[in-house]
Amino acid sequence: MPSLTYNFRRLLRPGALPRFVKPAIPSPKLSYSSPFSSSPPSSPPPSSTKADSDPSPNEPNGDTKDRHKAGSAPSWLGHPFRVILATLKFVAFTHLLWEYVISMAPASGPSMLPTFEVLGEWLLVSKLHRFGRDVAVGDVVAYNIPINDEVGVKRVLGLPGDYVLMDTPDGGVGGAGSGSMIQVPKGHCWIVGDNLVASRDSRYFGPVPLALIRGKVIATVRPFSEFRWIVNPLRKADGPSDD
Amino acid sequence: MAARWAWGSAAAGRGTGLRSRFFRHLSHYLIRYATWIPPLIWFNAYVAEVTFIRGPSMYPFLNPHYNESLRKDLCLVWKLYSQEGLRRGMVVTFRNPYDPNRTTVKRIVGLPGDVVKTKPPYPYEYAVVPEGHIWVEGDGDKSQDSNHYGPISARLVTGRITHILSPWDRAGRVRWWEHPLRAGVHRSAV
Repeated sequence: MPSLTYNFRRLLRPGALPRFVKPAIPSPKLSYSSPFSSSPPSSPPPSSTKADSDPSPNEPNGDTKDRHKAGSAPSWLGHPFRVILATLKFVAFTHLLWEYVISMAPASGPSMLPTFEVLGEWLLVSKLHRFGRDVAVGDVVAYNIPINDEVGVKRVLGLPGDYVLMDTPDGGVGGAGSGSMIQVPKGHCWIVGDNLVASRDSRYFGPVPLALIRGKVIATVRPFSEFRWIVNPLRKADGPSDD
Repeated sequence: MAARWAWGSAAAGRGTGLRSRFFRHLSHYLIRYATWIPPLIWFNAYVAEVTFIRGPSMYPFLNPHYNESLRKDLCLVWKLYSQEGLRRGMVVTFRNPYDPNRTTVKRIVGLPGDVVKTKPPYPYEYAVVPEGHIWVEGDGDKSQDSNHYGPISARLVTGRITHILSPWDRAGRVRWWEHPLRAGVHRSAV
């Protein structure tokens, strides 16, 4: 079995230089001959015939001490190529968290004014809600603007099947609204900014595919003294309603 | 690998029998290969992916034997900068506007500014493709495309079919520029 794993290891790391190879799991009972135990020590002992095969009995971790004495490899940093690979893997892992779990980004613009400042807002975005997963009417979402290549932050006013006003009630920037409504098609949502007069949103480019939603805004974080969670303001009515 | 020293010191204290050593090595290699999963996901999401084509919507260009066998075409989807430089005739993959969890393959028919003569399910005879949007249609008859859901945002595009890999006789580069442009599209500049 040990020779099996050793051959596996040789197969899996064919290009590794022997002077950088060290046993992956340092164990005192490795039965194969480590390449380090066969390397000559820095000061050869007089009885050199038996020093090669087995370490001296008074130090059980003979081969690791020999290696440190020889100074052949950095202790655990390994080959420089491996450091680059480790960095790459770490960056990819961080990117995964950033893209699929949570991220933070600055936001600017007047379209969400009572909720967010025009400048200097930093938003915490939960990417678990990407593609509109578990997004409810009233949530604030970050989305890819369908008509250019920027990212916007708006509030969801309608989900598939809901009926929404196509334009601003009581006249917005473009004059009085016609008051006509549409049903949000399946797979889409209707998003509108909080500041109706200074927001370019679904009233302009129509319903937005849920696939363009990047995530749900869950908090504003900077400055940290003004940290606050962004909660959905819609509440279910407690008592029975009249209508 | 980076955690090899920590792993080794943590595992050294345990039993040293044949079985335990085997499982120790096994778990060591499993963890070591698991560290390659994030780079792989990143590569598949942003650089390239190999995928099977499902359904008849691109018949006869893709899946020409969809009703004769269960064989599916294997294609290479190139995802780097896929939303830039879109042209008529390109075969693109995009997230379905009706269902964000599904990815769809269609051919680009119209670019922003084009006036497209639509096909039956569409409520109007002509459609103007708005800015930042594209008009996509499948090559085949059984296709749910822009004639159903209208022009789609170019932000939905996730990649381009650049190569067919699997049926060996049709394998090779996708020459989308040789595909004839669809009639009935009044093309704006570009």
